Amino acid sequence: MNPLVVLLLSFFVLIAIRVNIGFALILSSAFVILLQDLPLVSVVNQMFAGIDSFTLLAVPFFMLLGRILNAGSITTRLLEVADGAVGHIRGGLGHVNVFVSMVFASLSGSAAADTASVGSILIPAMKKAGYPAPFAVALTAASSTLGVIIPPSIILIVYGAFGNVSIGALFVGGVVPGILVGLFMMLYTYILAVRYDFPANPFPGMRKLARVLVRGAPPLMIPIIVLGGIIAGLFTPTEGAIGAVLWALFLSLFIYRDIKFRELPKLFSDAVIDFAIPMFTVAGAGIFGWLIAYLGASQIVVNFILGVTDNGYLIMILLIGFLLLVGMVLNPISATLIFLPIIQALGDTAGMNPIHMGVLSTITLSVGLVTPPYGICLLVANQIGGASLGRSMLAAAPICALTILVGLLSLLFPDIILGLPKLLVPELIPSGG
Amino acid sequence: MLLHRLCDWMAAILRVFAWIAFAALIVTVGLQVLARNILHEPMIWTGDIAQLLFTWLIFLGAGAGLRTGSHYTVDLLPMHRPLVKAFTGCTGLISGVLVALIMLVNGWELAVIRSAAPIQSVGISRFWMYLPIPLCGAVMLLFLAEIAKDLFIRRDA
Repeated sequence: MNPLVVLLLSFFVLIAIRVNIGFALILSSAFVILLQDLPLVSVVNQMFAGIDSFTLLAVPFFMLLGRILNAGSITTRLLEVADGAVGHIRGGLGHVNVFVSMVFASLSGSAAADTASVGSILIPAMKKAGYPAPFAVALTAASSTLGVIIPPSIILIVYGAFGNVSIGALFVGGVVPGILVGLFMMLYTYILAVRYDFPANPFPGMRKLARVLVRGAPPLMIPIIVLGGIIAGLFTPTEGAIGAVLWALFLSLFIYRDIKFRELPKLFSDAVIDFAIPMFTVAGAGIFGWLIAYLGASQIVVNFILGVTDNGYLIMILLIGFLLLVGMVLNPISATLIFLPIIQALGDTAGMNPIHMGVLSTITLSVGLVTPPYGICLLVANQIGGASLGRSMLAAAPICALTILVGLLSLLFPDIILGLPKLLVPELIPSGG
Repeated sequence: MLLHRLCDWMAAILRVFAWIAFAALIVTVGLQVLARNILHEPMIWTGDIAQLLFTWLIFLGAGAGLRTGSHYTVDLLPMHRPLVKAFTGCTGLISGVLVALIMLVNGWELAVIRSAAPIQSVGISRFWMYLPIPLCGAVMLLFLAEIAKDLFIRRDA
């Protein structure tokens, strides 16, 4: 049997029988390496190569940032800002949910952290206010995926580090589509609110609004530190991440005093598990991705697709469909790493700009965080909301469709993704597309 | 009992190591930013130390994560059925042991191969950069023994 088929088949069989994804990547690769008469030491060698990147150091810091935001009062302050800004619109809590996810996304970059922190406060509040539990669960889960699109996004860091694409340009490219997805979700919430008579919160008044904005201003400096520093060329993403962590620690320890020094060891060790597991998967994907390239999978897929069509748009639509399927069974980090050579090869064939391709594939893969069976955000939100999982999935389907719609729109109108990078960081955009 | 106590100790040691090493990582990268952007005098060693700590944290954190059940899995099978649960428990265990053995045996082999080359900026052998891979394998084997004990003793009960 073709070693590439053995590799993919053994991997999918292993994850189907509930073997850890990281282990499945390593074992299926080891199996093919033995079949190819290569030494087993190349498994661990390529695993190490998979994580031997200074850029990936940004990941633990953004994960820690998520922990700090949740442990202190920063998330509550952001919720107050969101409530003051959009809570008074019809379907207020729904808008607050999406708005705060957009802001949280610009701080932490972790979708699951957003689901847990925002969901634990807003899902019970939405249920109490009369929103159907499946809708509250679905909206929380779907809006959390904005953390994958809006910078600083861990998936974009991984894409840039391994795809040799500027992470700064990818970050800037994720801003507009991320905001667009958020606005579409708020519009959908508004339509449902009018139809089903969801309530609005009372307008807090200008004075109170100004007060919550002032209270929320210091944590809102974080995206300015990260993105501003990268755009101005002062920081690399890793340096921006450490700046954000130090600022959040300073706020929580000395200004708000809602985290005690004695709590830091637990905060840090919990964050280590948070990032060690996805990074271990990255190490496993390092050997798997290397084999995909070694066995010439990219060329096989490109030849197959070119046999079907040579139209750039159709190629991309086929790729989007493929990534949606892949996202259902793999987390976005693993999916990005494993299929990066294929994504880039097809992007090149379709004449896509590498920045455009990176952001578009990330938008598409973000949907998998909500769709079964690996819809981790939906599972976390459902755990909090106690709704029927089937009903939550049904409620999530139209919201996921909005994300896919933005992906398709940005395929047709590349400037949705490329417009802002062209304006702010033209020197970071490679030619192509 | 002895095995559980041993695993408790190992988990406690890993937690202490994790927070100290993560704090050190923050300080190291913080120093790097300070040196590059404010002192305008890059400290090359900070990059190598950061990479060393990062590797140790990933592999030992992944080992610790096996005990807390934090690794990613996909639920495609009906897990409420006892037979399916027992089957996936066994396959998970076997696959875990195989991965841990690869990391322990081949990871050690790799660390020994690389030991001849130094990390220039800090003057230590690259062996230390690769050592967490076999250590991760050893930690995983210990926690897998505990998982196996729980799995089979519960089934017998």
